Amino acid sequence: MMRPLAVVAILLGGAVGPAASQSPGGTIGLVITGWHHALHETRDPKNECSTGLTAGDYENVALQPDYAELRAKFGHPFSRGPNGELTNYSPMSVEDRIPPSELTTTVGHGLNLDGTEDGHATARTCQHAKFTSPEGVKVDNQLARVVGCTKGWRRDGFSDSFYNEEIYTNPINRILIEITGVDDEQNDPSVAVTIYKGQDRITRDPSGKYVPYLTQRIDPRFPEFSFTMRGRIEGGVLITEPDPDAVARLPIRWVAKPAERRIRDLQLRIPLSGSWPEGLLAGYEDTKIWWNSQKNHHIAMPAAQNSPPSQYRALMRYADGYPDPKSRQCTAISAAYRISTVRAFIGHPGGQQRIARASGGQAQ
Amino acid sequence: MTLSHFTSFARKAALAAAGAALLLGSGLNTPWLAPATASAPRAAPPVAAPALPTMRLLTQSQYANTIADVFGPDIVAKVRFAPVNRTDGLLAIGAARAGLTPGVLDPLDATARSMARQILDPGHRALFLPCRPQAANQRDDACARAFLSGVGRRLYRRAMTEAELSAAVEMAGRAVAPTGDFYSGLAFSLGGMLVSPQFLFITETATRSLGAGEGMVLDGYSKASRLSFLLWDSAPDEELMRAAESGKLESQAELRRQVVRMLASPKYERGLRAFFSDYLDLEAFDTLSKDGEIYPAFSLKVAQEAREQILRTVTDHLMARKGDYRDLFTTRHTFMSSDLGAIYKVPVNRGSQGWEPYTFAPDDPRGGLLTLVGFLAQNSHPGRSSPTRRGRALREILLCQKVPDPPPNVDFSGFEEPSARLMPARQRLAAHSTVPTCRGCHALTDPMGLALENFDGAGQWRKTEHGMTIDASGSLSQVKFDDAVDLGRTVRDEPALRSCIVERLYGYSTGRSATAGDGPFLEYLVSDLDRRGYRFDDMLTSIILSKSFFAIASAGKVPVVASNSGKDGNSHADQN
Repeated sequence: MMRPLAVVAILLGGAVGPAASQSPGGTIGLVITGWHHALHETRDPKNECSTGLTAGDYENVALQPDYAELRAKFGHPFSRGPNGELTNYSPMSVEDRIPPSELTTTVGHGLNLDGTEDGHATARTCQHAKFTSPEGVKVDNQLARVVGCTKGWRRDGFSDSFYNEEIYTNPINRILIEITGVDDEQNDPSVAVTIYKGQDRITRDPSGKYVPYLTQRIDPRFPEFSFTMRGRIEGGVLITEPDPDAVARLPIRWVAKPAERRIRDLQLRIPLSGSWPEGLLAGYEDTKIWWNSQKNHHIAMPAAQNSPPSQYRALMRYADGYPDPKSRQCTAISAAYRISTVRAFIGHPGGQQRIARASGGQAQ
Repeated sequence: MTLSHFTSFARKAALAAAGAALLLGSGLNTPWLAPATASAPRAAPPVAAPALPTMRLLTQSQYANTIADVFGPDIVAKVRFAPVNRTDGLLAIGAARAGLTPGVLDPLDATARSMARQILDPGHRALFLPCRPQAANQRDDACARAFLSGVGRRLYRRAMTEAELSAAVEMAGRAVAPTGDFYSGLAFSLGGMLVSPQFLFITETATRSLGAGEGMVLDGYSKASRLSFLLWDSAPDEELMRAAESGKLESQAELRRQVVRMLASPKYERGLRAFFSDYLDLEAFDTLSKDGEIYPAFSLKVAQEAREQILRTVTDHLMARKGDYRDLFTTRHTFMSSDLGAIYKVPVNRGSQGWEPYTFAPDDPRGGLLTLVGFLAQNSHPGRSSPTRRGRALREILLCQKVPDPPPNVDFSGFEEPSARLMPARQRLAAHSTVPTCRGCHALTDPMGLALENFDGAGQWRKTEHGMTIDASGSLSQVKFDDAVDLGRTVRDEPALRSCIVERLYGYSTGRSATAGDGPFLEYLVSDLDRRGYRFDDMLTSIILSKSFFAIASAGKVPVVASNSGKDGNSHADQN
């Protein structure tokens, strides 16, 4: 059955009425408006982190006996290494004095990326502990163990808030999802899902809600950020299939630093109803690339109550995907993000765009 | 008695005769317009009753366009004009009754001084000065005179009188002393000219017609201004000024040549947009806002772009496509911006600032001006649609039919009863057709407005309201229709639509309410356009080239200079 909002057409030229040319299969366009670590959080952090939240650079540096000497010599408060190394660039140059807090909860959010129930090592994973989702599913989200007790990455923390504000303010963070071949928004055994980098602003209404059905144009300058998956829709939920041979590259700009993410086995789980679908994006995130985007933000790290020496070590320790053939050190870490989206029209370069009927339905 | 008075009187008479027919919407058409027949013999055009010359305050756009045309786009006139009273459906007529209070004059004065300094700053002065002063730190009356007379002629739309020019030169000369700068002196004097009544008011002057026994007509300068502000929304250019000064505008052939030239100019689009901004009451968008909780996508930007969409649709249809005015109500061609696309639920691949042409598909529920977001949202409540407001706007703006205001003792309890708010508009407004105090007027508005109920208060399409399927049927002048597109077709063929645009365009062109004596001429115009079609160029040309356009009532003595104080004013004509 054709659902009203999915009734779309591919059109060359883009200037003729919506019903003029309809191809089989509709299109759903989404633009990502929110991106958060999928953490299981309660009101009291000690429920998840029994020793409380992780101490940051400020607290750790204050306990270093050579702190005053380093400060006098190098001038920067985080030049904590013996040769004045900044901890974000050289996290192994010094160890934190305060043991880092890490997740002690067994409840977590994410997807079962390795297909196991116990997290045993496989050809493409390292042994790790699984979380159990509130629905009782064994899931992988080792990155949550790296950031889950860090104040800045928890709900409304500095890092989380700042990044989400930059999604709004900066089109580098504009990530588009286009689902094509949709015959039924409730159940469709085969759809194609392509991620693009967009180039347009997103608009909030006076209450802060994102305005749906604006047109988001693909940024043709960055084809490297395009990535296609196969998927299906079950009970109104978009489910994509992982592709272990492909690496999805996604743009990211955080604290004014452009970078990228590289994610293998990228998967989406997005209930599609309404104008503001929210869901999960999960996969194995390249640890070096992830750290590259993290380390640039040394200015933000104290505000995030983040200490790079502990965090980097945790990243290496918890990495659970794609082991290096020689060292067996895993080079990727399972990750899951809660993403918020808003419905949009995806504008393709050269005037090709997929359009929906003007009378296609009411805003949800 | 104005034409509106005349037609109102005629309508009242018709209403009295029509009785219940009024309630069916059949009694409000302009009775002075007999339907044209193809076989009707073409008589010589009647001449409208001459009227006094007018004195009109420049509109904000006329002010800005004139500054840009005289001094170039670098010189930006950033000032907001106080609103004038809409009179007989037009601000252009209200502008002939507007004055300047000190509160209005202050920002104009500040803007004038600022612009004058910019015009004469080192980066611009060479563009405008036809001479160089003998010494930059001393007065140079000859150079000042050369500059001020040239600029003054363009700003005043006529040659300055010797008294005006001498005073301006003297002012510039005296102002050199405190600053020791010739250019500052010129700027001081120019600033005064930019805020003078001669510039801010379009003052028409009459002269005796050269033709024997033909009474008074506007003089050449006034003709040029009337033409230029009508067609370009700006002051006359150099060529038109020269035609005015040489007396060539007295020649019908030269007048026609000038009209053809002006219609071919890119500036014509400004004139067309200015008329439709006034006619369609688009200044209402300056204050249009919607409840953000109910219509989150309807931002201030959307409101501005909804207005722009109307103007782009109108100019495209009438200028680029040379379409018939009536077909504006059925056309499927329009333009979209990205923000409007969110309201229409259509993609717009042009980024946040771009526009692209858009054509509604044949089976789309939209088509024509009445289904554009601008008309729908402008004539709605902040939080819901309003069949009454939409119907009233259609009657009053597009059909020139006055819908009486509600009586002061209306009982609104039937609409404020909580459960009523959960009903579709048709059921909610049922009281309009049953309560005697409501029935008379709402029979004129609601049947048309209800046909637009598939569009909510922000102009977004909807099938249902409160879970119930919307019934969008209605009627106009006993013609029934099922939906908004059908309503557009009905309006397109409604005789009052034609007479209304003619009456408004004539009022806009002359800056005054048409008088009863204009009736035969307007009837003639309508019948003529009925035969030829309502292409806008033709409508304008028919008015401009008629003997009525420049005709002025004889005051027994020349010259006659206009007053903006209406019939009770102190014009020379009135004094004599």
